[in-house]
Amino acid sequence: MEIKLIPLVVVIVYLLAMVGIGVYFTRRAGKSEADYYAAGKSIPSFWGGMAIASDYTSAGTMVAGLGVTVAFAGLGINMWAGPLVLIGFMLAAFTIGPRLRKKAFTSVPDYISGFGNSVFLRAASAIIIVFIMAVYLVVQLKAIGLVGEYVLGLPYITSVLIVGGVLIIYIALGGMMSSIWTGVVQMFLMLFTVFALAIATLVSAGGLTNLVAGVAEKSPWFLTMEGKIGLSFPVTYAFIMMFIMLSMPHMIMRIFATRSEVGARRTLVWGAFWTGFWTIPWIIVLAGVVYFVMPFKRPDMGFIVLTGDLMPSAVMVGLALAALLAACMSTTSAQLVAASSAISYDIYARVIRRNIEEVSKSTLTWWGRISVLVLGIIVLIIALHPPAFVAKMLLLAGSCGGAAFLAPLYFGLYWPKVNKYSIGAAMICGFATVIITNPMFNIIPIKPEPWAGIIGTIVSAIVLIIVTVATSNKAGTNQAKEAS
Amino acid sequence: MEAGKKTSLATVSKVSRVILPILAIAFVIFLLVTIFAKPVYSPGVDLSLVIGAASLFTAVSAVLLIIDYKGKEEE
Repeated sequence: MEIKLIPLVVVIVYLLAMVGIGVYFTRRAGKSEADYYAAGKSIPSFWGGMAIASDYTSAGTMVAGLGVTVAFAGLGINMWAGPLVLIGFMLAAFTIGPRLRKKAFTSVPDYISGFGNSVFLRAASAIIIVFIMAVYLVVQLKAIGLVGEYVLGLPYITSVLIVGGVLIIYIALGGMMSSIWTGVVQMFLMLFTVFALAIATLVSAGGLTNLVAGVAEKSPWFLTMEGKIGLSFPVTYAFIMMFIMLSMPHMIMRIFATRSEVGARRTLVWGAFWTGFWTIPWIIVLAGVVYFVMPFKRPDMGFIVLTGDLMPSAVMVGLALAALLAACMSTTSAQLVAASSAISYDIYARVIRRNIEEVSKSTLTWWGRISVLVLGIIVLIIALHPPAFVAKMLLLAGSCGGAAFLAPLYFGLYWPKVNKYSIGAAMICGFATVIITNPMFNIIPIKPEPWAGIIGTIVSAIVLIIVTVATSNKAGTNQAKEAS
Repeated sequence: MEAGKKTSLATVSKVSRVILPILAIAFVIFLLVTIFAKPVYSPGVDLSLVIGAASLFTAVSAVLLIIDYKGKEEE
């Protein structure tokens, strides 16, 4: 396979810039666990919003999501996901975001274990987070490997090792601070390349009307609400996208990095703004892939192929590749921070050592760095021989996140009777339901895949309500009372 | 200054209280119409409709941010 030099050089420059950001923030991140995991709770809302939009735009969007949309799901999937994601961002901005920020949480298990000061809840939630984040990390690394292999001509394993290695280095050094600031740079890169490609698509097609007419003639199913596979998949997929926004630990941890409750609210609305702004040209790019590229045996590579077709410049292909890697890396970095905090801050310092005051701040930060390295290396090894398709693993991770944490987050903040028993039961039952019903584990498979997340979330909410009512006399410390 | 902050925050709160239910109701109607009266959408989803939805997404966020920042509340 021929290695393409100029795109490779562009990608190397991009990767070096990311490492540079990590090195720059090494000292600041090393001061304390709050600096390492919550960026010192100092991130201005404008930049925080850009980073959160960057996290939301992952391999699931620009690689697997694009492939699913142009191959069989059609534009309808965006009509379902758009309003739901908007509702998700706004709900988070005006409900849980400021309430979560009001408390001095550093990690999601901090919030969960606050019910009755339960060590069991902290350990259980941390283990679930490590599982979800590990699955998600493998997804992103697999996408990185596929993109590197296809575009640069590098072997899959080499791509995963180089890009994954860079990612681990800058997160181990700079923690949440470098995750956020690399996310900002990555969002700028994605905006630039997607807008440039959308303009090139419109110019090449002779305008929006011609593009729509061309797509309608070539692939009429693309312009329907149900695509080739019926309504069930796009509707449930869109709900999982909303759950990712509302309950995934790596998204919630961005809220902890804001300056205040006001900052949390503004950060989430800025996140909605940047996500919407980026989606406008992205819709045109999706139609462009259907019109100019499809049918094509690798629909997930549509973004790069369309760039090569309409803007045949090696530098532009390199930038498009860097943007794809950015989409994967921004999300992956946030997930690494979330998983590392679960291991070092929650499991080591709070569960094993019990008293966090006994652990020095620098020791905790070093534990954080070591856990990033160890977890990153384990995930890299799994990603060398990934077990399933990118889209399937993405849905598994998103489903587990929604089912385990959505009901505990919302009910816990707003219902004074919620207690440690109901939070624990809801979290574990929701998570277990996804594992049982997701077709990947073949226990009681329910298709299409997103249904596992919907059912798990409903089960979690029902269990939480029943157990809360049944155990209301034994209630522990209540987050809702303290947060209101 | 304090009064100004409170007024703007109240406005943000009011706007969000109006916008969120409208969005939720619109989405439910959209869902029901799509499921039970699919021919309404025949021949399909126009690209400009999806771009319009994304633009609405962005515009609603921008309006909320403008109102929020008018409150001059410090982060």
